[in-house]
Amino acid sequence: MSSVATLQQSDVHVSHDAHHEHHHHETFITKYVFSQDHKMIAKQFLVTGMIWAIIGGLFSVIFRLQLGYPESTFPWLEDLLGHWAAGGKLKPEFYYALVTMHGTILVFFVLTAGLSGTFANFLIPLQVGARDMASPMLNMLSYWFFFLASIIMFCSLFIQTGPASGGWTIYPPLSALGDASTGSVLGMDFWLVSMAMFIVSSLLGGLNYITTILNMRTKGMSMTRLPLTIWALFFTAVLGVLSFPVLLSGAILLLFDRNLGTSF
Amino acid sequence: MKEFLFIALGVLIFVVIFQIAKASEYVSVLKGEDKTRKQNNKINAFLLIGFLVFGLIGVWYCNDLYYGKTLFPQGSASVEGEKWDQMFMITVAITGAVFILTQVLLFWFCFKYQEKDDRKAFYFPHNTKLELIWTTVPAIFLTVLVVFGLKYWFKLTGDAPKDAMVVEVTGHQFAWEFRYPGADKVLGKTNFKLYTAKNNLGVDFEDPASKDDIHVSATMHIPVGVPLKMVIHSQDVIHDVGLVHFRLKMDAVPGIPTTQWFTPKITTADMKKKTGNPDFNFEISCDQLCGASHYAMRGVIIVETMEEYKKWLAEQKSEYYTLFPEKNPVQTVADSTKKITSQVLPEIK
Repeated sequence: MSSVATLQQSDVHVSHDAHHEHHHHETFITKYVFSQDHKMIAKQFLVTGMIWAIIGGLFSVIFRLQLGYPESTFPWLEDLLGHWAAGGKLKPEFYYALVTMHGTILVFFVLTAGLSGTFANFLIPLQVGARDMASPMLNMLSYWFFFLASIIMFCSLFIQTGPASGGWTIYPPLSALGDASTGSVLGMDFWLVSMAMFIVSSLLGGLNYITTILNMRTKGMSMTRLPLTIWALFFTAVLGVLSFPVLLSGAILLLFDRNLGTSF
Repeated sequence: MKEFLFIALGVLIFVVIFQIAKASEYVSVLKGEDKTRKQNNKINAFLLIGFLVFGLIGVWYCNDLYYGKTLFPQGSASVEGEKWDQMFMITVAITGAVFILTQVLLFWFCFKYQEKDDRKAFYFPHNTKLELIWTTVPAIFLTVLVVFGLKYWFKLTGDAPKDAMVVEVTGHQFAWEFRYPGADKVLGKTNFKLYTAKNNLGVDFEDPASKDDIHVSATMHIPVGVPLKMVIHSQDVIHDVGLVHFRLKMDAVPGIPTTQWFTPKITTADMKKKTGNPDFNFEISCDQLCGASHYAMRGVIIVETMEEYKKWLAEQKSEYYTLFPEKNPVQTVADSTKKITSQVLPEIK
């Protein structure tokens, strides 16, 4: 009981500070860039997720052109993609790279970060009646780890051997052996590092969502009175926290296998 | 120059859309925003009904147009696959009925209960009984579907019937290899350390069981009506034995042999007549992305009558004698092939 009291007290204290800061020290950087406000962070997730949705959607348009019209050539594809579409036809390696990146982008960067990140950050404090997330700092870090992951994944699209191309599930040994396909050379390292950053982001976010829902509900908002959206986001976060550490260790071990000569 | 034109075109389109949006905003201000909103609401309600009607017609039309091109009308080529087709149809029937019902209600309600001045929204936040019903009923249906799926899955990945013949299927980038156990009906041991360019399955020829094993590439011959157990290996990355005509697939995982069995029920020749396609062939395709030429990793399965199968098998030479012709005791005797292979021919009822 006493811990709850302390928590409430410190909460008041923090929000007082935030209030104080709001009037005097809010700069462009703290308000729009390194913001700790859950609504601004939600918008950052939304905008980044939308950009990824457009990129991922375009990928699917390109590979479905090839799938739908295997006999036709599209010379403008060569203008756009260079040697990956020599003669206006996608190379098999690049077709698989497009499918892989489309899957990765849609599953992780759009659905997990873009949708879950946006709605969880925006709705949880509003619907449980909290001022902000349990830890605004972690929340900010969650977005910026996601941003870092986005940058690395985006860079991987432009390397000479192409991005990862073993399917978005990145099953070893295809992903572990650089000889197995061109996409398993440097693209796979980028993919794995990016995904490690992404998982850190999801974990920070997920822990924050769970803590906020369990500890920061307003007076009278019992768990049974929570809106269904919050229950859904709560379960999503719990599942994420249970499964993402395994995925993170998987990505790290695969990086070790590829670069440090281990054999997990 | 062309690139510049494309960029200029993109910017122009953006400007045009922006200006139209701005103009319509001014128009709505002039007309009175509330009136415009109500008018838009009405249009949206009609559009939703239009979306429903055209959407359902589109689904029906596409099905009509492309159903014949799918593999479904051919029917399953294996006895076990019939169960999968049946399960698929039951799932489609249940989920399809729910889909049509819920979509029609969704769009119809949007239209029927659109905003009107003389009507207020009814606040209906919670009904435990209703929520219990719509949670429990789908849960029961889904459980039934999953249980049937698991039942067939355990059957096909479990023990094959006693009279089943065995073929070892090995995948590597980017082809399929098949090994038949020969007269003793036992596959010889393999060891990856024995792999050479010639002995590319790494067969251990010290093992007496391997002496009569037959190795063929790319095309697998199997008799109709006899259960066939596949022992599936991979030599490099994960592949997948995809037998779409037989409604089966099973991963080929390096280091972990998997098994699956089925009973082909129609021969390739009969299937050619049935489909009216003289080039028809049963296919074994890789169903797990395995590298650059994954799309070309294809094998052919020829299902034939028992007589044809026995005749084909009699023409095959055991891998041991192919690799070590000097070990063949009757190698020098003219026209000896038939004698040798008739010794190693497995006896199948």
